Amino acid sequence: MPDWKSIVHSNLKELNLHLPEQDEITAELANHLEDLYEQFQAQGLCEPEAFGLAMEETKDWKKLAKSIARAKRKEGEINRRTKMLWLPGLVAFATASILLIALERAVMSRPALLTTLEHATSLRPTFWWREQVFAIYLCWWILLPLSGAAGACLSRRESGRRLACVAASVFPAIVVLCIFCFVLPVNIVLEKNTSAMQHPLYYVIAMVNWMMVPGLALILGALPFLRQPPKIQK
Amino acid sequence: MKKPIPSKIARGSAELAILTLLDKQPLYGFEISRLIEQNSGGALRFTLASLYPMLYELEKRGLLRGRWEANEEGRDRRYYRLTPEGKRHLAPLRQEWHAFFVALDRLAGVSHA
Repeated sequence: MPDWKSIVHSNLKELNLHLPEQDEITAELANHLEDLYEQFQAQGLCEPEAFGLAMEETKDWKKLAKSIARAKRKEGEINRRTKMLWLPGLVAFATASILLIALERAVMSRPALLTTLEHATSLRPTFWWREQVFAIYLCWWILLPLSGAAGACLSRRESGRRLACVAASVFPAIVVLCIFCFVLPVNIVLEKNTSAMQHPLYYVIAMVNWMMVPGLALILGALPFLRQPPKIQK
Repeated sequence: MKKPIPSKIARGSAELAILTLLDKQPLYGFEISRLIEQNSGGALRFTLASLYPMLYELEKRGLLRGRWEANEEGRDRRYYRLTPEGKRHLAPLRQEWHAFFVALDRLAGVSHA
């Protein structure tokens, strides 16, 4: 009986994995060749013929070592998370930011458009800042589902689960929440800004404008993609 | 025995073939390779070089898990099992392949039945 372990070991020297993992792979492949060799012998082949046929399972050991190393590489997990969560989230964040900046510029630079929007938003709550600001926010919220859809769509394309899709789509709102969680304590504790304590309503309005309503709009855009089954990675 | 399917086509179907077999029972590499060849009438054949990188890749993706156990002859073999993630992955994978064959049938009259 050939020493399959040493045959595999000598051929897979280039694997460069951790020793226990390399030993495990060596043992598994050696077992496979041993089973195959015994099967050929059971079919009536003589030892050299059975050995030759078993060895034909792998003509290019270097290529096999590379394929195994690639398959075992742990970075794949990080890459997948990046593809299904971080990149779609960043796309959603970037599109949401671009939309807001573009709207601000478009509305502020065109008085006629501003008047129309002010008229359209005449039912605004009275405490909601100046009219044009509310008009910009309203347009932004209406367009935000597109950003949410972009994030969810990209996440779904990379086999992202529902939770990953939702997280990717509401990523802009999560970023704002993190900023608020950081800015508010810094403002009050470190900078001793008493106005923050005296006008808490401003912060509530800001949270609603920047986080809660946008969060809902983003999820709204993600909804069609949450119903689809995730695409399969080939 | 049928003529083996060219490796490029066979490689694409490997994931479905492996996951389908493991959905029924835990198997080790040699058994997986033997059953794929046997159940496909010899049309699909995965050598050691094509099978194990695929198994390790699927294991890394969390679709299956390998564990050393003794086989019927008392020899230690690395048995692969489908994980819950793998089970969830299999249903849409089957649907995709079904849709693929339907589309191919419409296009080129290649029936999968």
